[in-house]
Amino acid sequence: MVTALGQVARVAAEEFGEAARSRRAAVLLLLYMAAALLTVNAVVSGLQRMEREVRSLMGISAEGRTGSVTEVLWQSERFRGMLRGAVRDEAAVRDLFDAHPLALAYGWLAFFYTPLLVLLVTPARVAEELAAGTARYALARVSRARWCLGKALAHAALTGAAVLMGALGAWIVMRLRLGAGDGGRIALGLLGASLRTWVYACAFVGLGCGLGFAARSGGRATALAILLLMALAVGGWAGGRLDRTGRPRAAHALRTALPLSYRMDLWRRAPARWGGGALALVAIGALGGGAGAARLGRKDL
Amino acid sequence: MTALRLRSVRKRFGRRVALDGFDLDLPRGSVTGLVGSNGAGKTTAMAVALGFVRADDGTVDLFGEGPFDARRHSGRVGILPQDAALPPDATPRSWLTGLARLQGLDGAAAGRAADGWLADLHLSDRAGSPMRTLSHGMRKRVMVAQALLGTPELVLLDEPLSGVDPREADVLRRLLADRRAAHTAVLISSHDLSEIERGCDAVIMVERGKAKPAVAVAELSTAHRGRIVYRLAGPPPAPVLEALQSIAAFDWNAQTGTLSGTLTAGASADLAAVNAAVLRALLDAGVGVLAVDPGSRIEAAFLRDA
Repeated sequence: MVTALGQVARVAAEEFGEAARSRRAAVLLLLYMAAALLTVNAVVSGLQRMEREVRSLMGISAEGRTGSVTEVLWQSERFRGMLRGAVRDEAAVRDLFDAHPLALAYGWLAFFYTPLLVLLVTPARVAEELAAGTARYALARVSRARWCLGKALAHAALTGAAVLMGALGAWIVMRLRLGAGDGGRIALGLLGASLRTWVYACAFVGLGCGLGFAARSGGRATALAILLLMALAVGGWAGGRLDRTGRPRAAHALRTALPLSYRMDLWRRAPARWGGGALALVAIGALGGGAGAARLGRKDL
Repeated sequence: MTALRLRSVRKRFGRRVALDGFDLDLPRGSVTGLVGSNGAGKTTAMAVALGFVRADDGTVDLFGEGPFDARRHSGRVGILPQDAALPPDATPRSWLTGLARLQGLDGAAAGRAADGWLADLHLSDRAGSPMRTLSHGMRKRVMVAQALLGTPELVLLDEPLSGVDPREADVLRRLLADRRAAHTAVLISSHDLSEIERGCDAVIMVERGKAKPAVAVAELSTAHRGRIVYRLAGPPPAPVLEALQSIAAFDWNAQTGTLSGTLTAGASADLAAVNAAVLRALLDAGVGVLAVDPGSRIEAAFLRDA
């Protein structure tokens, strides 16, 4: 007799294998990696150009390794002041300065690209499987709730794998462009950034699965995912606007539902902050996925 | 003992009534055919039985344990759903093994079950090929294999033989006969009425969302005397065609060059005698007879009742 957990794990393993073999997921993963690597490459190029100018202005020898000036700048009080102005949270600024600047840059990029990757792959894959009838073979053997949970876990694992691959690619680019120095520290920093990105993406995995469970076709699921991305962007903008127009309660209520609001929490060192942020993101994903699963539970296949 | 019982099941899709008081009893150790026009409700009835489609009204009972529940019935019911695509990038072996494990078989047993069915259905040489590279008939056999994985007590097959070549269809008939011997209840929906006649014990006619009581295929030989088709070298003269109406209702189709007769219960009881009379009339009139096809008894019954 197979256990509930066993069935969920089996659905997840099948979905992971099938998605990893699918052409669309492979193409989008390649695009994601290409975008991440090109951006990291551009960041490194920008960094090197900036360092050359700083060295030239200050008359510093050109023999210092690339990145060292950046780190000096990163640690400077003037730069910290700039960041304080942008983040407006002294504790957050202190925590951010603990991270390696290049890992932070990669993290920022991954936080932008990963939700796009998730929402372009997950809803369409799940909805297409339901629309094509393929899901019925599994649903003659496993309950809809377990099937949904297995799918969500598989896509969370796929996202984790994609983020790690992106980080590995970024590390290779950084090593090639910046030389041997600080390789281990950057790798650790990238690993930390990947973990944070994955937790952040879990909210989008849940939301994407929810759209996939509820939509009638892959095309519709993708359209809904794009609308969701637009709605989240508008929500972020509206939150800021409400704040500026003296309605902090409304702004807070709106931001509670937006994954974007918890990004900074994931970079904090205090367990209450990063734990709370991670929990909120997982809860958003669970709510989105749960709503879609409830819809699937009632619909005819 | 009944494996599947549907009572007064109703289902509407918008304004269209798919099932309108559908009743069905499927005994264990039987192979039953479900026949009917397109849209009669056969596929919906199967989907309702497995919970893919929720009935608006009526009851569904599997093994006397209530409606389908994957937690209780996983591995005890096999289904070949209509128009359900296979995962294009999976291989038959990996996919079947995964489904077998999903229904509770351990890794080794699942692999053995998958390999066994692939061998039985002559697919071993394509076990590692992606599904998208398989022919339609091969994919259909993989679909049938998944429905028979493990030891299901109830198997529902929607159009299992469409696209399958005659040799493989024969293999499948034998496999289903084995399931019958193992006390499995098998329900086959098909438009290929001669296949139903060859492979089933009983047949249920479905029309406009209602099922008629099951009729044993053996009984059809007396209840329905069948349909007989003559392929002729040329059109029969009008007086001959008129004379043949006294034997059965005959129609001449000039396009196909066939003379078809549906033999009702009022016609002669002996098909051989009917055939002799018709042949005599045709040959006396100088009409060449190229072939005689006794047709399907189920087809005759279906055409009469539809």
